[in-house]
Amino acid sequence: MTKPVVSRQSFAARIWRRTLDGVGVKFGLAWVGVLVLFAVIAPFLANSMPLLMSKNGEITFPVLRYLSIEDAWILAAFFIALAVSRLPLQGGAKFAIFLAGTAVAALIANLTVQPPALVIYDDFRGPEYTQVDWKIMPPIPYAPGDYLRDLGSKGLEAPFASEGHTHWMGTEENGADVLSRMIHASRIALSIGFIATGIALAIGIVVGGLMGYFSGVVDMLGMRLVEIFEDIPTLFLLLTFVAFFGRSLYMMMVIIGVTGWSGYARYVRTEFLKLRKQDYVQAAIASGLPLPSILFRHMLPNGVAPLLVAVSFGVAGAILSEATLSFLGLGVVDAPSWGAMLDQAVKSSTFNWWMAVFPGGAIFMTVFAYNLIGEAFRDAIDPKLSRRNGGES
Amino acid sequence: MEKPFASRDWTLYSLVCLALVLIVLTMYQIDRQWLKLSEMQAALAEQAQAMRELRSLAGSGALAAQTPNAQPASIAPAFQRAYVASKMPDYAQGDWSVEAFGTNLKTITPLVSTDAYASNVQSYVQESLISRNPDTLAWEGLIAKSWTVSDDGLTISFDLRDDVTFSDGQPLTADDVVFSFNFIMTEAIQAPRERAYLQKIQSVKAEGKYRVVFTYKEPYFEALSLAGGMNIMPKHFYEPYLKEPQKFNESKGLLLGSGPYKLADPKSWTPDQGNVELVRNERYWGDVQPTYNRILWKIIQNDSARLTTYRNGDIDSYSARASEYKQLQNDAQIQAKSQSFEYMPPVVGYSYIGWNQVRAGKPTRFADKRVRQAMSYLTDTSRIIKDVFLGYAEPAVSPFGNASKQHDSALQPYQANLDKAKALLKDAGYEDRNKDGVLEDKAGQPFEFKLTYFQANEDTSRMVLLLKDLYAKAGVKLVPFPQEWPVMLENLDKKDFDAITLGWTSSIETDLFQAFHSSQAISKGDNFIGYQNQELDKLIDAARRTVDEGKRMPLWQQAERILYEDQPYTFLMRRKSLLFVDKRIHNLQMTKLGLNLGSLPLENYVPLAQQKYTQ
Repeated sequence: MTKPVVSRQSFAARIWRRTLDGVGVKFGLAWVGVLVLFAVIAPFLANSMPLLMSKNGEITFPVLRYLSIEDAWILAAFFIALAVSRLPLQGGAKFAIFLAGTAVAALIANLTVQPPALVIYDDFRGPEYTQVDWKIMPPIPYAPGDYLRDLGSKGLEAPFASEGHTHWMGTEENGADVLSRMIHASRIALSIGFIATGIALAIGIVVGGLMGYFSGVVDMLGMRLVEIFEDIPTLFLLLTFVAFFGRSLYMMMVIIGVTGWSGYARYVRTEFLKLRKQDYVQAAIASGLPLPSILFRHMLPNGVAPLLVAVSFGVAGAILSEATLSFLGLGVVDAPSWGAMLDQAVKSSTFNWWMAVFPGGAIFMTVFAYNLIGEAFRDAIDPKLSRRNGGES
Repeated sequence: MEKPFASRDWTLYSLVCLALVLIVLTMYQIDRQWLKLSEMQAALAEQAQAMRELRSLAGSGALAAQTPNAQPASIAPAFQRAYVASKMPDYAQGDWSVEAFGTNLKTITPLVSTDAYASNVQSYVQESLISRNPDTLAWEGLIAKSWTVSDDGLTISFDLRDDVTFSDGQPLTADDVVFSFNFIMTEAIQAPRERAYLQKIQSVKAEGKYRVVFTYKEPYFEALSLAGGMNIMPKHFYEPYLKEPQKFNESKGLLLGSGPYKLADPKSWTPDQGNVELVRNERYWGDVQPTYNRILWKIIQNDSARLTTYRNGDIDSYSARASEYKQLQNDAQIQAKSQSFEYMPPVVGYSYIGWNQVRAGKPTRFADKRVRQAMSYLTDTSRIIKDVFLGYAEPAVSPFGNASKQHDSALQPYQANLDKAKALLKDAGYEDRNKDGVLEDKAGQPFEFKLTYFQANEDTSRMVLLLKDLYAKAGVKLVPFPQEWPVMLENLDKKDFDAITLGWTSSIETDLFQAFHSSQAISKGDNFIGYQNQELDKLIDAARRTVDEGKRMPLWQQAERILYEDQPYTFLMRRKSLLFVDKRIHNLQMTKLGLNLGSLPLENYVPLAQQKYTQ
């Protein structure tokens, strides 16, 4: 006779522990963590202006003056997230506090941060910033949009090949530092992954939840809607939108999000179909709880697990979509992007290896990392796949 | 437990087998049909070849007079160069000419199309009365045998050849010439560009079947080239569209003419086919038959892809960007297969930034002359030429080339001058009022504008980024706005842009009327920046009326000075042609009109041993 062992851990914590139980996923999480860190502190890591300088005894922070609203907001969001994760609260409450905090931060940033609308990078190498007592430059002293016009950068120079200035990863076609652009591009990659997937997830959960809960006619109509959206070729839709409405990162996020929810809807639907006749759901209905409460408070936490797997693959897909679009030369002009840099690997019939290795490697690593995380989740959640299932305490 | 085979199963299986056998047999039959069909096609092609030889033999008079020495005399002057080429020892007909276009074409219907790509296609299909000799630049009869100009210069009468037919076999007569003129002058037909010029002509009349008389309202300096250069549109083909002009205006590929090549189906080309393919006009009337069997343009938007395609031998020429020209010069593979040409074409066009002065009926900030001058002072042309075009270009002062007689050599290109630009902008009321680094006008609106450009051109993209940094120094914010070619043309027609960078092709003598005359600031006219200057209008009108070249040139120079002062465009540069052409193309020569690659009547050919395409 085996004695049933009662686990003292919550389901979520157990899943999380089991997920972390592997080398690949640790590596994946570490890579994403590094990317997040780079994305957050990008302006302090790679920029043309000094971090700190003393001129005639007066100490200034030039980099802060040129901090954009987005920079400030991302920084604030990061620290709020750090602080909130330390609070002894429920997950939902933490999330709510985080959302409220970032919203307030966005508001404050919009009102207070007023960077100069035009940045003339040549000035930072002019007398105003060179005739100083002392200054501390960022590790990579080139901004992503700094084409080094005053230094006569020739563009497409291999690493360490430029004269007079060092570029760890060489320069791109207009003469900007590749490493600097790589670091700043991690923002686009991360944000498009998270936001596009977030939009898709929100739509997918609502539509899928309704389909699964009501089943019948609603389910039938919903499935047809899902099928319609599955048939939309996202890349071609993006190409069309770019041609007619110009290039915008936000538009890309919305389109990838709005067309990509059907998979999530399917997952949630199957889960909810399974759950809708369960006793606790019936109890909730009998208690006369409002529909959103039944759907999202009672059913969703029990049906969310398979979704996590899909999400991590979805993030990887969204990053690839943006990279593809940028590779085709249809990304946002002037904004650093891995895909756009990869496009410059073969220019004028010469193969610029550094433009292929670094951005290509970054795209590969990021997509790979998300896939590793997703797979680890799947292994942890799926009872059939988990070898340690039964005896697990 | 095993199921016994019932007789019902047997029937089923045999039926399935029977069906399979039948399908295989049918496939075999269809295959045989295909073989037969291609045999027939080959036979037809051979016959057509024989016909062509017969016709050129007849055309050169060899059938009538058996004296070979007398042949050149019967060749019309326009075909002399092509005839000389055809007598070269390794001359052969056949093969295809394959080129690449950098954009999708919106339409190739004549009159409706607006870009140089489409007119390039049309030049192979439609012909005009006269053509220019590439050696002497004099006019020679093409469809016209001869012409006379009346003493007052107002009447020109052309005598047409009587052996000209359109590619569908219908003879070309004076009626078609008259029709072409009337067709363009029909208001409902969307041809404002051509109409703007042709309205100088009072009437076009047919006198007999092969004589046509053009009468001008007033003297015009290019009277002969205007009348003689008009493409002849076949009346029987285009006349039905007078009843449904909308159908014509929206058409994509209605193209038929008397030229050496034709569309396989003159009505069915659409942009989604991508490529444009012309086939030989087997009925071509000319004294020398064209060399290639087909003319094919592939659409390859990406610069690198175009180069790779050329490298693989799938297109015949590649116009190199400055940044790759030097590298390609040292590229053994390219060198082994190419003839390279580096030259400043005599009729090279110029690129510019056009400042839109009227938008939605209201004057924009660029309506102020001082602002435009300031922008020209900010646009460091020599820097652009040095950084982006690596010196393979020369600065442009005005629409007139530096070697042109129309150009006043006293005028120098605007030199970059930040202080002057700042002073001008301040004078025009622009100051940094809220200390954010961007200038604001008196109403507090920041000086920010979108520069529209064609997205697939890498040099342009690089130039725009450079301009962005240059303008930033004066507190002017440029927002790059790349667009697809058809979308850009659409916005141009609607005048929906702040500023745009483009290029104009030019000719021996450049007429300012189309781009700068106030009357052309109409809907779909080419003065799309809404530039108006009464004084310039008068000068343009006067110059166009003056037939005497000695008196006309000073007028053009005066007009140039006004353009220089007003800067409706910031004139950028004229770029050298850096061209690689496949070695199999023979008889490439430099003429006064530039390289003769693809010039008509065709002079280039591919010797038999090097031919690639057999169809």
